[in-house]
Amino acid sequence: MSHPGPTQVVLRQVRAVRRRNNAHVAQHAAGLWVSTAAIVATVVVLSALRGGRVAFELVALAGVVAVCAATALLARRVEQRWLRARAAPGRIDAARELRGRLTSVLELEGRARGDFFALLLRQNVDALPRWRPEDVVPDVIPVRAFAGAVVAICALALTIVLAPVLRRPPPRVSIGDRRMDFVTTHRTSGTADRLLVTPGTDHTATQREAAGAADDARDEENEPGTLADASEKLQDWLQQALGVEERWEAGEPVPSGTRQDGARAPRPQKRPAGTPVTDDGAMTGEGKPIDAQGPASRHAGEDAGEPGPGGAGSGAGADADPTLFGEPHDEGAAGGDRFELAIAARVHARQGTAPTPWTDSPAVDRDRHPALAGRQWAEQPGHRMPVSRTFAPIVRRIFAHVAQAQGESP
Amino acid sequence: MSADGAAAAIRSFQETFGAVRREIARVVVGHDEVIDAILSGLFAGGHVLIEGVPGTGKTLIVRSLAEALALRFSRIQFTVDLMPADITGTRIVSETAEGRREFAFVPGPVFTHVLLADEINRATPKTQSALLEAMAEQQVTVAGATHALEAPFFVLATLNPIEMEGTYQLPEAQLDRFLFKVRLDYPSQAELERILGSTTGAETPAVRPVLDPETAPTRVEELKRLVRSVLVAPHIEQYVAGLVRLTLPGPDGDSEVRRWVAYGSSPRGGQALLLGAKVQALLDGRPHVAVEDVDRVARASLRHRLVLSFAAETEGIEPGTVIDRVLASAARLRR
Repeated sequence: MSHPGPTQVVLRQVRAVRRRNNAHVAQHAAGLWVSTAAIVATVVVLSALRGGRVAFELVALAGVVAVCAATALLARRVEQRWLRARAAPGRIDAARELRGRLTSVLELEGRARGDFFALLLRQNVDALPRWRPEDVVPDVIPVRAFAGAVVAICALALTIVLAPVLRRPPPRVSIGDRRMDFVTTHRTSGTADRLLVTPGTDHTATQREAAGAADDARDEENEPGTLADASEKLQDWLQQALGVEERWEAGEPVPSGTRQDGARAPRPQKRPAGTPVTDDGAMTGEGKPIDAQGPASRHAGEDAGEPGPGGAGSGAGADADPTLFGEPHDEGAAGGDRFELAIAARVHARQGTAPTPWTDSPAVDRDRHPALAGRQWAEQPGHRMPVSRTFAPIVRRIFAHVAQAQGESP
Repeated sequence: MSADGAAAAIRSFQETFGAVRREIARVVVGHDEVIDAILSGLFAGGHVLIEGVPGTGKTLIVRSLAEALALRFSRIQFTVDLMPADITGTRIVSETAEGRREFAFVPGPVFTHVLLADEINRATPKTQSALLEAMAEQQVTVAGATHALEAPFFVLATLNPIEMEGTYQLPEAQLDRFLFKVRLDYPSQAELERILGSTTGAETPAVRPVLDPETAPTRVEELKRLVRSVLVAPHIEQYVAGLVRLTLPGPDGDSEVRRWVAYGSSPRGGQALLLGAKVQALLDGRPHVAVEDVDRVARASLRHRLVLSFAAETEGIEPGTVIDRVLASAARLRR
């Protein structure tokens, strides 16, 4: 005697429980994964907008790790909770305390006969209401997981929309007129709150410094595609994609009053004369900005007879050669991620610093010590390092005075 | 009808089991688990080994069981000078009505329904092994002639864990023939007070037979067949087999079990697990065995089948501890 009817009813209910459970598990995992990914993306975008290179690198790396870990954990969770056809009766038995009734009847179907199997089948049919799919798996839609995902996505969208507002304040540009020694370093930083543009000369590095710089250069050459590069590219790409760079250029043009009077610097032979650097505590001692009220063209005139390699030449003022950095072009289109001018910058990010108003540089007071630390000017060279292409527009604005340069030859 | 018939049979089993238990409980105070295990062993068709110190009611339990079931009862006090013939019976020369003399078989005390083998470890191995054939085959062979024992045949042997001097440790093969081994502990304070009150008065409680003496053996055999009819799904067989294998000191088992056990359970241990689990299923009103039923009888079924290592003995590890460990590591087998 076979019992196809009741067994089929039991099997149908088992399948319904499986479908319901697996739908819940999959949706729950998807919701959690989307929540995690959106939160990570939000943090990464925020760090791209507000953080420095190192901070962005760390956040991006942590984000990748978090997403990978979440994916692994969720995959494990899904694997554990996924109700397979073979395990479904046992799981339902355990969940609803059926004492192996369901597993036994499904395993013994077609094998066992007699009164006891008939009784087992009847007990299973009687017990069907005890494990209805809606009781075993109360919620198909994981409301909390989905709500979390929606909130996280909204946060990400809000961050993207508000990206121009959330960007870092543009760096303050200060013009220096005194020649400054620079030593090349390969330390980089993606953002700066101040840029110092000043004539410069190459510093004769000590043997130790030269060796260190050479090592740095070798390292950089040997590892062109490091994680840091990728991170930097990603940060630049994010800033471009979010329209932050364009907004910065268009919304806050560098005023023409930043030009400095004085003789034009000769065209540099080895490196540009104007060397923008960013100020930081190490250079100024107190971290004071080197602003336009600092020494100006008079100093430059005094330095005219001793042009350093790439520095402002004789009679050069603080005003830069309009073609000093070549014709303006879109560096990004060329695929560069660095401001390729041989400018050097010491970057020190101070977020939220109120920019100093742009002013023309006053006459240089010979007796007045420049805002840079004395030791910095006299003894210790500044660090000259590659800077982000982010700073290209502002430097170009300062130096590329095409109209003025048209009548002069370098 | 078939399902109803099975349900009625299960109810009848439960009622009989419960009635016997209640009758025994009239004279035996406490020891509920032991009584359940003994009754389970009886209905599962096995024999039970009871370990307990003297005076804890071993004999009383067995006698009460026989009286409640209205079965014949015999008791053999095992001593060092007990001979096999004292158990199985012997042939004597008797004279017939025609004056002819011939050997006649005189059945020993083993020809009964319920046999109490008291302090079985005091007899010599030769005498102990005389009981083996009776327990395993339900027959005895005397002088080349085989004599079947009347069903049901149920042996309850007792072991005295103290006074080990002058005793003969039961061989593993003989221990393996017992379905269950149960331990009879000292009664608790409350139980002891009840024992004192009920056994020293003018009236002592008596056991009333639950079954009709005429049909009792047949009825017990029916119930034993009913137990055998309980369904066992493949996943239960897998679980039992896995449990038995976990008692072996093999590489798959628990590291502690490997260290504590010299020899694990034989396949008879698995049979005992399943038969005991079937009784538990019927008592729970189910026509099928569940994993919980197996776990419930694991201690009684496996305790006497494990040969512990020297390390376990020096650490004072008991078989019950090993079985608990085995059950814990068997969690992955459950589903």
